[in-house]
Amino acid sequence: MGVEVRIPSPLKPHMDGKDVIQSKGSTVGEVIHEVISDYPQLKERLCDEKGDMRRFANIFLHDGDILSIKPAIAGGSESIPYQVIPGSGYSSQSAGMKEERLKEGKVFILGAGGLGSPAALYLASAGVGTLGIADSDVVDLSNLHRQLLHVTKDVGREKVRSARGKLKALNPDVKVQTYRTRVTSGNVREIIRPYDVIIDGSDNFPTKFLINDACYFEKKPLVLGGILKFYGQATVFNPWSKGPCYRCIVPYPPPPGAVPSCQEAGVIGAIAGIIGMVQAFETIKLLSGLGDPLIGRFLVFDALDMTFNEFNIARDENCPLCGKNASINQLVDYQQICQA
Amino acid sequence: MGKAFEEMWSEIKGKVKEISAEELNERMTNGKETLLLDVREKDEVRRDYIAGAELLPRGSLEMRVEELIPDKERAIVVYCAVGIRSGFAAKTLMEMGYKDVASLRGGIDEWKKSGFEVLRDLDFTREQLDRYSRQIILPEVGEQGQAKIRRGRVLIIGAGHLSSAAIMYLAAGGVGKLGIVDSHTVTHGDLRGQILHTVLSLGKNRAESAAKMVKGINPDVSIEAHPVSLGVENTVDIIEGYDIILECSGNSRTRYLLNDACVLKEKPIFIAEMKGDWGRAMSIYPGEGPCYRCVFPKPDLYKNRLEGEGGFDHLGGFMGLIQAAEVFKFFLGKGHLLKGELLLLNGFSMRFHRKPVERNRECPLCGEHPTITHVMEDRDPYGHQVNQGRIERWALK
Repeated sequence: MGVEVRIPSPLKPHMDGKDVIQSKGSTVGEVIHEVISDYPQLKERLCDEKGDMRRFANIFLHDGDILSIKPAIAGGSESIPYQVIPGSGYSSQSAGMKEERLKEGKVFILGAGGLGSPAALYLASAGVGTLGIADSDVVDLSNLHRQLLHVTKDVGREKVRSARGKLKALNPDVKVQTYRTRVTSGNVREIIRPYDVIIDGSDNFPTKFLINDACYFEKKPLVLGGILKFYGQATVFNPWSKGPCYRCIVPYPPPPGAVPSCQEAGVIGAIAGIIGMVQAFETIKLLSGLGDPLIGRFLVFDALDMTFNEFNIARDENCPLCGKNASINQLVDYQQICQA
Repeated sequence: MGKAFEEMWSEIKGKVKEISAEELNERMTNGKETLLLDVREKDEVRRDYIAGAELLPRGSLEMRVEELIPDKERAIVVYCAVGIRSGFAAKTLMEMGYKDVASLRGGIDEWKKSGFEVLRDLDFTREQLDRYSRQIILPEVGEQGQAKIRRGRVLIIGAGHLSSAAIMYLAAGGVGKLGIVDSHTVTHGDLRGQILHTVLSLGKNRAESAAKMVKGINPDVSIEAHPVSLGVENTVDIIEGYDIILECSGNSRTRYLLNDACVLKEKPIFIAEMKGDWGRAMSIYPGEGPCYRCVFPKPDLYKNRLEGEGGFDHLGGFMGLIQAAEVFKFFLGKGHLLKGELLLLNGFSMRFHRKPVERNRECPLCGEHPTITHVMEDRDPYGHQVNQGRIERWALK
């Protein structure tokens, strides 16, 4: 009996454009070995120099005979109920959502870029009381196709200033706290301390690890997002209540240059909008306590196929941050390692 | 040219099949499906190229061609300026295992001399190249894809919460022409979930407020505001001149009216809807799948939902954005479009579902015996004129 191996869009060009291939392997190792020997171009994408699987290229088995390769970060089993017809008795609690909770809510957004823009705009329009935004950059013309907090006349302005202007115009009642600084191990804990929910709108691994660790130490829920080309990902980490942290999935950052950022590889603006909006939704759910947030669920969006896949992700007992024998007990500045 | 070149060239002449401009034109209009590959340098391509060609300079051919053309069986015609570089490129492709490769004799020069058309749409300014650089860098887009987006004309129905984000991203991404139809004025309530408008737009017409915002986002976009409500008398005229209609009115009467007009005029219409915590997206490609009436003979959406009472007022913006992403894919001709499928989202659980939908042979608009043959006002406020008995039967399915 064989298994079906599902190929994500980014890897299809290396596999003659196929969506799915069949493998005769009986263990995950055998399957991967077979795939790599049939498609040698995949080897460097999936394995490191020693031939071991890369930790940021994960393989997931579901239902025993379907295997998915996810080149970034994901895990678990796919579980999408088929065909839900709207209006067929799905009980909506929408009406019960407490506006006051949003008004009292304080949300920190790391980055006023592709993800931070839609998240901030929608949170301000939803009536969230306080928004904190940190970004050290100025607006560049090449930002404008996806960073809608900024418009043409803002080119050259500090992003946080342009963001504040836009958010205030949308909702004069929202308090906007800006941090025109690079978030580092030295300041991040202090910055996020007053907030209830943290949104990651960063575009690089060092910052994602930094904010993950800081949120863990400060016991804050983190709404993670990522975009690249036509793909997006989102999840919620809240390890103090339940579910994994980022390091349970990817223990350490990939080496610099191993994974391109959207600044290098490009992205379709609307995809940034979609993931930023998912982050805004999740934040509203966390603040209001309603709905079923993406905790322990990793959403992977492929705009080319228009698929939204969900993977269950679990806590790793051996996680270097939140596991039993945690080895990380203070913030690490990968930024500097990368720059070196 | 040197002696070694002469030898190589005569070897190529013996190995590589050449076709004439007429033969290529014949193939492209009604012959076998052929991929046209332009191997000239970027500055040459900026001047002109043959419509439909993929651009891949000779210098990066070996490195990038397998990504661009994974199928080695595919018929390929390579061209350059006069037919020499393309000969070398064709030989390389054959050595790489491509089975059906030919070179255009005399190159694009011969093509033009034979009186065939070329495209000259890569005349982006430096500023534009910078503005769209993170999009152009994608292999699925490139300057050619950006030119396709720039040629695109999208009419958006409604400038409210369903379309706010979509309008902004379509404008920011460089869609050439946007039309916006909305007869309402911006109210305080609108600012909730409608990120396109600001307090400065209060009391102004929503289409005009949207047009002003679009200009601020991207001055390249040509924008047309229609501050009117759609009816039998103006719908067909307004949709004329657009390639895609993005239906974000949130109003059943308008939705059925546009569905009818678009199916009759054979224009694709992308619909985004929402209610409460549910969102829905459906794209209609007239003649290629079901129309809105095939699937929803009467308005069905979430009748029991409490509209406007908290919930996810932004969910609509989300469905609009999904459709904006579809618009980019449509113009680029890339990816899998939502044809014959409904996309459903539950915002409370953040779960997505895709449901296949089919044409209804009894559809009064696109079925076997259509009764709706021109855009007409419906008898009832929901905008449908279908046999009551059939509705009930459908509902039981």
